Amino acid sequence: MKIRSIELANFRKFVGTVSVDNIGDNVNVLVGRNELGKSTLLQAINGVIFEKAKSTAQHVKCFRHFVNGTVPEVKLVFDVDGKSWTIHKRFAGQAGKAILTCSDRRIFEDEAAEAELQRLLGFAGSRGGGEPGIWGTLWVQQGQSFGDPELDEQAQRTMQGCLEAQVGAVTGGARGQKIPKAVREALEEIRGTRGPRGKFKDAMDRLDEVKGRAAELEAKRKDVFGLMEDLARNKRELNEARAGWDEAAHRIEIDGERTKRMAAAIRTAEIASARNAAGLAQERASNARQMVHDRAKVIAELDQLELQFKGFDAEAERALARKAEAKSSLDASEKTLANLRTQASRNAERTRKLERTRVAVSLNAEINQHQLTLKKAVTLETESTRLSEMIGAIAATDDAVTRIEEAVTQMSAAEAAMNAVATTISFAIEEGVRRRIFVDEVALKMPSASFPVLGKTVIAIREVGTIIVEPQIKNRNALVLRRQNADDEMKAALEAARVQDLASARVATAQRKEHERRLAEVRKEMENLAPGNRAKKLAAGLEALKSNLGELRGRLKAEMEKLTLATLPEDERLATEIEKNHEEGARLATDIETAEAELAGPQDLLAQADKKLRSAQEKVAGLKGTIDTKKADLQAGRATFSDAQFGANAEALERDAIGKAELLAEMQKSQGESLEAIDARIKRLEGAAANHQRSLADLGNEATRLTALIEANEGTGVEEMLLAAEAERDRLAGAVAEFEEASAVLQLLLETLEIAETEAKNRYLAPVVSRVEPYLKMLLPGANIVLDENLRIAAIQRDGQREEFEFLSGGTQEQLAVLTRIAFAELLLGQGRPATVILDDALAFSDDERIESMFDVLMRAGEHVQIIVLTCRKRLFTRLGAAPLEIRKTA
Amino acid sequence: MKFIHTSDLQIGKAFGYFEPVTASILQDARQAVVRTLGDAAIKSDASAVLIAGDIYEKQQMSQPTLARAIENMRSFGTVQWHLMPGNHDHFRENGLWDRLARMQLPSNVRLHTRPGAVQIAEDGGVPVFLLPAPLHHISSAEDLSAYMDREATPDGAIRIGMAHGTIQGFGSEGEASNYVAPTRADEAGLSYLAMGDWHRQMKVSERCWYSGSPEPDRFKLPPNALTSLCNGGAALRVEINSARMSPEVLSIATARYQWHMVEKTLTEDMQIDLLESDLRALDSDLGKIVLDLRVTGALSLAGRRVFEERILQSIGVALRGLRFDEAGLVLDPTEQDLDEIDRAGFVRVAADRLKTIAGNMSNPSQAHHAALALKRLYIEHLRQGARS
Repeated sequence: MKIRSIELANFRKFVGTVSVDNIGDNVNVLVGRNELGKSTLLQAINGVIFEKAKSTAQHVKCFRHFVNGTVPEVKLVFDVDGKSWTIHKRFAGQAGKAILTCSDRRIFEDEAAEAELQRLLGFAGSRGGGEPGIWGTLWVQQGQSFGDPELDEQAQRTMQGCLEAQVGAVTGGARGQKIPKAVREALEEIRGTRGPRGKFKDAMDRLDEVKGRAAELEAKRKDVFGLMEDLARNKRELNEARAGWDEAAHRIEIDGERTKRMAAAIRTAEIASARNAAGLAQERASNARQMVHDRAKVIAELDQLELQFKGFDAEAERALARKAEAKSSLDASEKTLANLRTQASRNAERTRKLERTRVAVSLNAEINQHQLTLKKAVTLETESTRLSEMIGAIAATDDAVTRIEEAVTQMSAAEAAMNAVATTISFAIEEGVRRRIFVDEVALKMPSASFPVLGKTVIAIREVGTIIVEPQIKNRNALVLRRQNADDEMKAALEAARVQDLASARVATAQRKEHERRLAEVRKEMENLAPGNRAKKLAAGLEALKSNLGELRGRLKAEMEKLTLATLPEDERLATEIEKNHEEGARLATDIETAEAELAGPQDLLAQADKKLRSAQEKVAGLKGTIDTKKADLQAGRATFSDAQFGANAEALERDAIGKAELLAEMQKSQGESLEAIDARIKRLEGAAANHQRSLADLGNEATRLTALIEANEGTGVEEMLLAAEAERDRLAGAVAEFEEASAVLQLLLETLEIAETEAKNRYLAPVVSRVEPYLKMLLPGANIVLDENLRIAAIQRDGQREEFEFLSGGTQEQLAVLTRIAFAELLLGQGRPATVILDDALAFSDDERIESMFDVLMRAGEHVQIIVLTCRKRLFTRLGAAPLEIRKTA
Repeated sequence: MKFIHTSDLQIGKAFGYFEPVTASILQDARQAVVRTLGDAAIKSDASAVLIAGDIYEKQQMSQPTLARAIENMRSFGTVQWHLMPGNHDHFRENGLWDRLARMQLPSNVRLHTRPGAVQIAEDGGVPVFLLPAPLHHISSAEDLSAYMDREATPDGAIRIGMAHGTIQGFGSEGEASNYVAPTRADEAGLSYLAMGDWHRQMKVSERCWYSGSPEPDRFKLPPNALTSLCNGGAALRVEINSARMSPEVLSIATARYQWHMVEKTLTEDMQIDLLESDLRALDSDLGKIVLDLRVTGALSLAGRRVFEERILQSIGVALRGLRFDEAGLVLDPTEQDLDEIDRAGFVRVAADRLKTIAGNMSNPSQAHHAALALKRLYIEHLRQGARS
């Protein structure tokens, strides 16, 4: 469809008839101020196509003029399929009229016109009117251009038709679209991201629970059977216990054992009495034997002791002789040692005297040293005085030299200044006449000479006359004064330094410095003569030295008097004597050590001999006491019982003991079973009876307990419950397996569908994307557009980054939306269905640079798509370069 | 002497492979068969019912389960009920049978927990002795009926043996060994040997029969079965006129529900019609049928839909119980199936891919999942179609 012209009569704001004609194939622009009626024009286009002429809908009634309410009419001329069509509608409610005229002379009226119009432009009709479908997308009303070009269902079908015609059917139809959703929902009902859910999870949870219950019941079932077996065993044991016990026999046996015990007890008492008697007799006999034995032992011991006493006595005698011998040897050694110690004492006395002499010699040497120092001090003092005088005689110092140097500089500068302005008088005189020439009364010294002159200068040539030169110099007086001042300063400086010139000043200064350096050295040497000696408590300085010298002389005199020396010996001789005396001392010390060591042997021998003597004497004394005591005891015993009486008594007691022991043995032999054995048997029999009774009671109690437990469980029917639990477990396991399978199946189905759908969508969207992208490159180089399956702009891809459409700027959103609409129109064109794009006040948000790019895009697209731009921005859209349209008032 | 011979009631059995409601109904049928047997005894003029073991499924049954069976027996006061332990409810000291003995049993109920001849009736002056061979363990290596050979009874007395196990040489249908000599009836001079343990009714000899379970409880066909009817569902009415004559034995139907096992291979969608008519022909009242349906072969997606609608969702819900095994049934989507999902578009692409995966048997698990995914896609597509 391409729009060629539109004519409105009494439509909304328009009174009378207005028209827009000559709408071209390419880009057309209608510029007009606000309120001109551009949007009304678009409303009229929509109205004449989609609204029925006989419509009584409120929004159709609103087509009438705002004020006068006149019946509105719209006539639209357009081309479709190479034919020109005119639709003319008069919106008068039930009296409305629609006439569709074709260039092939066909005419359709009213409903036929409405139906043919629908067919021609491919929009869906409805009771109230047509649904704009794709036209609603392509014809952008004011304020809607920046939004994503949403496609209604009809528009989507239209575009889908175009796309499928191009790429084949890929979407699976409306029904197919719902399948992935239904499958996903079905899968989500039983499995979520965290695993099974819903009925699947319920079944799994229930299965776990039932498995647990079945396991518990299985355990309980075994327990109950175990109880039954325990009870059966218990009953068998009880029967066996009862069968194996004879109570009467037990009674008879235990009574017999008790009677036996009484007889055995009496016998045991008799034996005990006999055992006591035998024991007593044995003890007496034993004592008697011991006494006989003890007396014989004492006699033998006495003999032995006396023999031993004699031995010890002889030993004491030998020890006494050895002690005397050792004492003699020790006395001789001690005498030698005492002699050596006397010699050593004398040697030590001589050493002390020699050492004091050496001290006196040292004092004397120190006194001599001090005297030499004092003598040198006098010499240095004289030199110091001499140098000080020489220094005082030289007035030239570094400061004086500096002053002279500055005066020379001033002088040179003053002379240079004078020379600069002076008049130079040059002479070139024959030698023969030179002496006749005087300059200011001074004879000319050289035949050739030049003089600078500042003031009046008289050149007298004897015998000739005078020449007066009087230069005219402006500041001559000042220059002369400066030179005079410099000359005065020079003289003053030289006089102060007591020199003739600068060179002699420098020589004098150097001499003065040399004297000062030498004086400093002499003073330093004087200071070093008596530096003091902290060790000798000698203070620094010559005065301290002099005082010390006196003290030393006093000490030397006193020392010599003590040593009774008139003169001091020579150092060398004294040293020799001291060394000799030291050697003698060392020899004596060695001899003493040797003598002391030699003393240790005799001392030890003497100590040993003494110890041995004391030991022998102690033994002799001890043995003597023992022998005396034993002899006294023996004698006292014999006084009571003789040795013969002692032996006879022992033999009698021995015989009595043997008799009583034989009697005891005889009684024990006939004793029979012991009391302990009978007691043990009685205890065992009583225990057996108690055990039997206890066993019966225990078994009975256990039987009661087991019976109670079995009865408590059997009523519940553990195995029956187990069967039910196992049946439920099997059912649930089956259900879980079915859910597992269903989940896997749905997952596989969903994945397969989603992959296929994604692939299809990519293929499906490719034609739109490929049409948008050339324009996008003009607008946003390097960007790609991303559409969703509903042909909505989802995002753009720029520099590898995805930017969601909704977050783009309003201007960019608007531009992308326009590009996409153009792409849709091109797609329709590709299907042989040219479509007009109408933009009402679009591109309101575009900046200057972008709008230029958009103008390029529109003009490029306008080469094959009809575009009508309605705008109020005249100056800006002049740059679009499109064919201008205008609203004309028709007479 | 007329009596009813039955065994293997296995009261209290759970049916884990059915839904709880169905399982409960089947459990109830096992209790109710006691009354059916009582009625059969009255109707047959039989004075006794011999239950040759496995009255109960297990030993530790609940009091209501135990008592309800006994109470049902009590209500047939003219009928003597003779109960003997089998392998499921074998005798154990202080166990089930001691518990029953402590329960104030009615006088018409007698427990036979020890071997030995017991006079149970007098038939025209001829004493009738029962020689039970109760099980004291699940499995016994020796022939517990061997004692019958030596067990003395008065001359001329009618000797009826009752044992639970497998007759040697007759296969191994029972659950435990417990072998019984096939010649026992003759060697022990028995007029009749009432056998239990096998759920299938079978004649071993003129004097030796398995009664089978009076109410079926498992999907097992008899050897060389001509129909889909499974074992069990009947008892025997036995009439012994004299110790020497062969007894007259008559089978009596006792089952409330018939258990069928149907195996079918479907190679074409059209065969579903035939299957449907076969199943409907099992009984005019499908509510009496418990069915094990095993379907193999291949169906298209459309065929599978029809199968589910006409078999599972129609007959399946009318049955008392259905166990359906489709492990051998593969989905073989046709081009038409896939076109029906979609002729083009991504859904069709996905369907084609799933079909490829389903056909790749190098990964059977994934192939199976892909087939089911395809089925789900087909159903989902139809469902969406129904909504739109």
